[in-house]
Amino acid sequence: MKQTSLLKGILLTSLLALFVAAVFALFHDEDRSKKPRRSLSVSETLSGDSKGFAQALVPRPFKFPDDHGAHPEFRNEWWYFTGNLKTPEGRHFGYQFTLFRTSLSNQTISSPSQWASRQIYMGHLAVTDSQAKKYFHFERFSRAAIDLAGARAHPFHVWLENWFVSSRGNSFFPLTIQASEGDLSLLLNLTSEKQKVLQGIQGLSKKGHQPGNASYYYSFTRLKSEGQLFLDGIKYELEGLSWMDREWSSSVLEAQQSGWDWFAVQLSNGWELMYYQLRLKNGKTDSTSSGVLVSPKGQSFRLEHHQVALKILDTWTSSSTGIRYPSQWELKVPDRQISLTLTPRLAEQEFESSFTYWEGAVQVQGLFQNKAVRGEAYVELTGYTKADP
Amino acid sequence: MKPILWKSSFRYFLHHPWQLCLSILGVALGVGIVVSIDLTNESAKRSFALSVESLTGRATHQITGISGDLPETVYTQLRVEEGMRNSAPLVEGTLSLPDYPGTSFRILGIDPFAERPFRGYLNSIQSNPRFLPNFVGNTRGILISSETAAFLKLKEKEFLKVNNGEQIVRLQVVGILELADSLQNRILNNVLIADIAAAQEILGKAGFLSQINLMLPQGPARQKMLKRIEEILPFGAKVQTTSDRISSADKLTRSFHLNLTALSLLTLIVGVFLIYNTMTFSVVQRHSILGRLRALGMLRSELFILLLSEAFLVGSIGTLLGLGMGILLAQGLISLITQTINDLYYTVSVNQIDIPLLSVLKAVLLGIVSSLGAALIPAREAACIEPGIVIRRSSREESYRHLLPWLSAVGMGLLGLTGFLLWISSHDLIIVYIAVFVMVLGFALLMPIITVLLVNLASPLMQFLFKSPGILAARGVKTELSRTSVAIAALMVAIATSVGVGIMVESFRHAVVHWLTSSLQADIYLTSTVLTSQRTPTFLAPDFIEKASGLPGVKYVGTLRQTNVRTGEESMRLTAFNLPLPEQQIFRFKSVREERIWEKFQNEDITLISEPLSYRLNLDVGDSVPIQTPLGPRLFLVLGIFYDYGREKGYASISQNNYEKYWQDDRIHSIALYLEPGTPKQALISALKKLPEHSKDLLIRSNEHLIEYSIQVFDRTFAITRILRLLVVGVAFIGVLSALMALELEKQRELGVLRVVGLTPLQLWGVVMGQCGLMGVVSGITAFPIGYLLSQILIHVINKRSFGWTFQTIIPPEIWWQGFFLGLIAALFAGIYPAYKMARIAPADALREE
Repeated sequence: MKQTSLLKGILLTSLLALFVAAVFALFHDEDRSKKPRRSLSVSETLSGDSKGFAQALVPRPFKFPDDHGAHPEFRNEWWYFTGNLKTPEGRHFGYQFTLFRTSLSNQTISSPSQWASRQIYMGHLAVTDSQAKKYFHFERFSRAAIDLAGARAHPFHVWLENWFVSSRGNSFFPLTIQASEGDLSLLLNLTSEKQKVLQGIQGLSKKGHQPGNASYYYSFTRLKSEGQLFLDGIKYELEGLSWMDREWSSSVLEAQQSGWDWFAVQLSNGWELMYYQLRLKNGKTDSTSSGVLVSPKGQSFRLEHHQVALKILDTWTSSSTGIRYPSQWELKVPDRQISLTLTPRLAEQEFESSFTYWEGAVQVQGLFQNKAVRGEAYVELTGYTKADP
Repeated sequence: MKPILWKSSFRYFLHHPWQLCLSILGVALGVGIVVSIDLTNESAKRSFALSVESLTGRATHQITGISGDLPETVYTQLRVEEGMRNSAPLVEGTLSLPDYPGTSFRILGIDPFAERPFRGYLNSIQSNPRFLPNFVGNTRGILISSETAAFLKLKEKEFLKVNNGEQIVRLQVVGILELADSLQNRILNNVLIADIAAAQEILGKAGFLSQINLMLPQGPARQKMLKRIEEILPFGAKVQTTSDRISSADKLTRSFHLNLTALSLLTLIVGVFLIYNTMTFSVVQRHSILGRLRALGMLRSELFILLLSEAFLVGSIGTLLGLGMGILLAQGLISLITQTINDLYYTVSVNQIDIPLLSVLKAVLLGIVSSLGAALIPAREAACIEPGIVIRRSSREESYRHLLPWLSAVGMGLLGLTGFLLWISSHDLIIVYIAVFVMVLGFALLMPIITVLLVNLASPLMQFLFKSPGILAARGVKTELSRTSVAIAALMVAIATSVGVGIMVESFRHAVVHWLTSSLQADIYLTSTVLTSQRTPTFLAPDFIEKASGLPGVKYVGTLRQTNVRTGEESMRLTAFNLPLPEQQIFRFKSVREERIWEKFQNEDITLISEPLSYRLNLDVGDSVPIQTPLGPRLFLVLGIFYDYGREKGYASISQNNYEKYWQDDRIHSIALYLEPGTPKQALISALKKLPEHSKDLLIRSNEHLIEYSIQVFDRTFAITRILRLLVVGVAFIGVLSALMALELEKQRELGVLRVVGLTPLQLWGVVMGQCGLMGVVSGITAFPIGYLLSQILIHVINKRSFGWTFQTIIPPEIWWQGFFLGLIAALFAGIYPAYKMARIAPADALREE
């Protein structure tokens, strides 16, 4: 009598049936495993076709306060603030606050919906805590619709949700910057110690060899800044200097260009130096690179690319993106007997976002007309990739 | 186990393939129906959850506005002034596709910048990573999932035509989402993702959002933020958690699902009867073989296990087939259910059947366990066959007869239990359904004794009508009670279900038609919103109202304004109306406090409420309802409760005067025109359309048109119950067929004797058909009162508790004879094959004993 084998058979069959049922059911659920995500490539919206947009071809007479506001006929525009600040005890903090505007199309859409706007605002906020060796950075976007973001020339107010920079009164200065995200909150008041500097040729700054690959560009190179930083529940009273860049264009990087390095140096003797170097894919420097030197009284002197010698002294490789950036420079203007060494306060000041670049507070020391000089700077490095040295 | 046993079993089924097929079919049908209803229910539920998820993403909370619309300025305030970043605006609605008739798509208008944290899948645009410039602010661009793209045969940059209820719009695919995750794919089935600008424009919702999704942190910070949000919300808007939102919408369909579940439970009873019958059948036929096997030395246990194994095999095959059938059937049913849910509740699109493991397990349990369970008795019976002895049925029938009082007592006990369950059930619908189940079971157990009584009564008539075949048939039913009563009970349950549900649906339909015709007494209705679409209701221009009222032939004009209000913690629909006095009879009151309410209604704080609202909020005439108005809370006295079947959550009505006073708003949603007698409606409708203030947004319909449309929706809703009723009867038919075959084949010898003693084949037909007919009649007659009881529970308990409305029982005349003939015809049909088979056998063969 093989009853046990029969029972086994029944048991096996029912187990088999259950198994089939389970597989069947599972099959229908399939796998819910997550796939690595691609980032929503907003940065790509910042490059691309400039057809149909206004172009910076010839110098234009600037009109203020209107030109403090937006120029939607141009593709890109920014209000760029960087600065080096210190607490009364001398603790250093660097900051970057930028509001970018990008126009997705030069055509306006007629729609009953207010959201049908092609003007996009991007905000970047970064704070460098040199002592704690920490770097915080945040990015946000919004379209210029239903008052979520926008720019107004007078009274000056540029905002992206609750980040904003605006005039406190009827005149452009003093300005207030307010931006907070998570446990970080920055509130600054800025007043200018010098008049504005028109960059390039009367404010037309060439960025390439093709006509139109240029921007309208002016700066306030020495802004006295004071305010507060709230970080992880601690309030820091800060004072120092900021730099403001205003630039709008429809230009794009040319085929042979790979990126740019931008230096904004504020020296202890009252001079400022700005230099942007456009890098070529063949490793050389684009001849349209240029800069400006601003005297303590606010006179500006244009610097051509052949007047400036820039040497990379060190590099740093980002552990999170693998990108290698220069991390120390020697900047010389032999004509003016300027020789400066620029050393980042912190190597880790990589703004990792939809548009990754390095932008950081940098310490400066060297010689200015044979006198020792010290200073603070902000440096921006774009277009570096993993393969780059 | 000896191989010879397996062989005998195998050879038997080889020679009786019909029988094997019937057994398997019986199991398969029972399992199939239960599975299909279960799957349909589950799929509808799941697709609902998915459609909620498609709206909310990972949001923890939602801000929703009054009547589904929130001014978009709330969002600006939230982001710019409050800096609440984890928020995302959403504009949603439904569109139909002219190239795919019958398909509706949901359009989700998002802001991709705000949406990223809420929807991971937005990051998976593979085919065109640079979709953003083409998407943001584009009023004609859409993103679709790759599955949807395949379904619509669309590639990137191609166009899709959609209809927003007003015009056809061409949308361009600007990106295709490649989703690895099947769940996300499901979420985006039949979904078009558009920029918020596009959705606002296409849905006519410029300036408004459907909702704002929020992702609030845990802990005390959340409370702080919620408090802050509530402070800035405009009147009527509210913030609620995602789970609250799901559960409140889920409650809407819960009763609908429960109704279906009840039907599937009743099917289950029929299914178990069926399986029992088929198993019995296969044993009965082999009594002599089994007896011989015993004589050859097989042990009882061996026979017992053999039969159980057979049952297991039949059960397994039947279950597998049943699963397949159920899945196929569910695919047919799901479209019906989806239609109903879309008509009544919210838009869902289900084009995939979910097969939850639990449903599969239920089916396996039902099929295999009930096959085994049903085979237990026949297997025991077979195992008890004395070796070599020809079984004496009479003795077994004798013992069954002894069981009769016990069965009846248990049946009565179950009926008592039913009453008790109904009594304690209060608001709990599940207990009511259990009560229904118990009641039907109780009646099924009473069927043997009822059968005996009825056959005793019918015997003289049978004798009178059909002479000796008649009396033979009648006695046959009685003497073979252990077999016949099971078949009769199965048939009775099926018919009773059909009758009960039929009465309920007819009564409900009658009440709805009556309500519609009495409440839609104006001749022409003008409304700025389409009933079936989700377009934002706009208001009628005052100029237009004035011109429309001035048209020749217009006697009176009534106005209507709708809004959602808060009363205590609950929200409810409020309608404000102004009707010409002689026409106010449109309300059919269930109870009313005083006769002359209309004058008071105009000026005092008086409200009339619908029956479902009175049930839901437990309000009676004379109570006061606090209603939040922009001027603060106001108490309204309930002066009357009226019948209404349009809104299961109910609504309250106040006068337009009061509305204007408290809401400071005199805008009107719709007007009703009462015409002078003899005014042609069509002419007036054309005149209305020619008015310069007439806009495309306006919907002009005659009352006949509205009534017709509403009844169509009603009939669509109950289409599924009609189909299920047919299926239940179909299952019962198979059950009766196999039971009768078992019976008649078992009686082969007996009938052979009758043939030998002179019964002609025709008379034999008479005996068999008479017996079947009698069984059918017994089922039909008993099914009616039981079905009636069932309908009363459905009407007075289940409907009232699910929806809060009551209606009178209307027994449509055809129900009287339908049930009866259904039973009779099913039974007669089932008798054809056995009768044919018996009549063909030569008497000598029938008598032969090997």
